[in-house]
Amino acid sequence: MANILLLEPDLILGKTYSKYLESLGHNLNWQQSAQAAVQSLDNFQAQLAIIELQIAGHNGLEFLYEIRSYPDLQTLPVIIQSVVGKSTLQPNVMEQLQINAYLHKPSTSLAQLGEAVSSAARSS
Amino acid sequence: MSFAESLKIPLLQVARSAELSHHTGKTENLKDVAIVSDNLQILIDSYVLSIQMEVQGDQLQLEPVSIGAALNDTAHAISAHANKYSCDVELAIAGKYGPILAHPAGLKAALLNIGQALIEAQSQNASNKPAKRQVIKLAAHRTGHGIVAGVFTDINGIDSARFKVAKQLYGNAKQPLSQLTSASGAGIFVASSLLGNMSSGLRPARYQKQNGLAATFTPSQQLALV
Repeated sequence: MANILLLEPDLILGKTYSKYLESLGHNLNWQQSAQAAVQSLDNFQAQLAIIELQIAGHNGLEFLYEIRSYPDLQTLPVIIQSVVGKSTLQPNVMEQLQINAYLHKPSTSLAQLGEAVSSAARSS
Repeated sequence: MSFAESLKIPLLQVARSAELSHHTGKTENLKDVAIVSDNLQILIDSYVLSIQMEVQGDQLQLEPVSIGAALNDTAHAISAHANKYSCDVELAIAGKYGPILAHPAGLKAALLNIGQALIEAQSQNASNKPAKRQVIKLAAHRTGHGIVAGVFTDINGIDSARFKVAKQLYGNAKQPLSQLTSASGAGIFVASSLLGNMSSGLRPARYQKQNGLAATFTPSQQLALV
C-alpha cells in the first residue's frame, strides 16, 4: 500500500479517485492545484504521484518538472492521468520525466487506475 | 466541437461516481450523479437556446424582466451545486431597480451557467486555503449606462485582456480560461453568447472588491409593477 499524491483539479473526480484508492488501502493526499500540491509535499512522504496535466494556472508538466528538481523526488513513480491525450506530449517527455504510465482519463476505469497504481507501486 | 468536448468531464464524473458506488456498495455518490446530470442538462439546454437566439438575431423579442427576481431565482437554483463545492451564495441587490429589457429564459440560463462555472473555478483556485468557506455573490447595481448584473467571487484570473483572448481561443484551445479553470469554461462562453443578444455583452467586472463576470442591461421604460 502506498502514500499517493493525487493532483486532480475537479472536485467530484478528485473525491471519487481518492475514495476508490483509499478503499484499496492506499493513503491519499489529494490536491486541486499545483501550488497546493508542492506545499503539501513538505508534510507528506509521497511514494507515488498521479497527475492531471490540465489544471488551472500551471499545467501538470510544469508541476512535474518542479518536483523532479527536488533530489528526494527525482525517482518518485508518476502516473499521468489526463483528459489530454498522450499524443500532445513532446517525444521523449515520458523518458525525460520518468513517467511510469500515461492513462487517458475518459477511457480509464477506476479498476484500470487501481491496476496502474499497483504496478507503479511494485516497480518503485 | 468545443462544446461537445466540454461534455466529457461531466460524463466522466457520472461514469466514475457510478463505478465507485458499484465498487463500494454505497449510494452516497449518487447525489453527485444527480447534481452533475442536472447541471449538464442546464448546459445543453442553454447551448441550444443560445443557438436559437443567435438565429433570431435582431428579431429576438426582449421583454421587461425583474433583475432582482432573476438573481434571486438563480441563487436558489445553484444552491445545491454551491453546497457541493462548500460555497455560500449571497445576493446583493441593494436598492430598487425597475425592470430591464431582456430575454427571460436567456437571462436565467446565462446567470445559472456563470454561477456554476465560477463556483467550480473557485474551488480549484482556493484549494490551498481550505479553512475558508467560499462565497459567490450574485449582484446588481446601477451605473450611468444601465443596470449591471452578474456573478462575483474572490478569485483572480478574470480580467478584460484574458477574457478577450479566451473568447478568441474558445473552440481552438482545450483550456481557454487557463488561469481560471482546468475545464473548458463552456458555461461562461454559452452565457456570453446568450447575453450578447440582450445586453452590452458579458465582460469581467468588479463589485465591492470582488472579481466577476457581468453584463449591462437597458432599463425598460415600462412602468415597474414589482
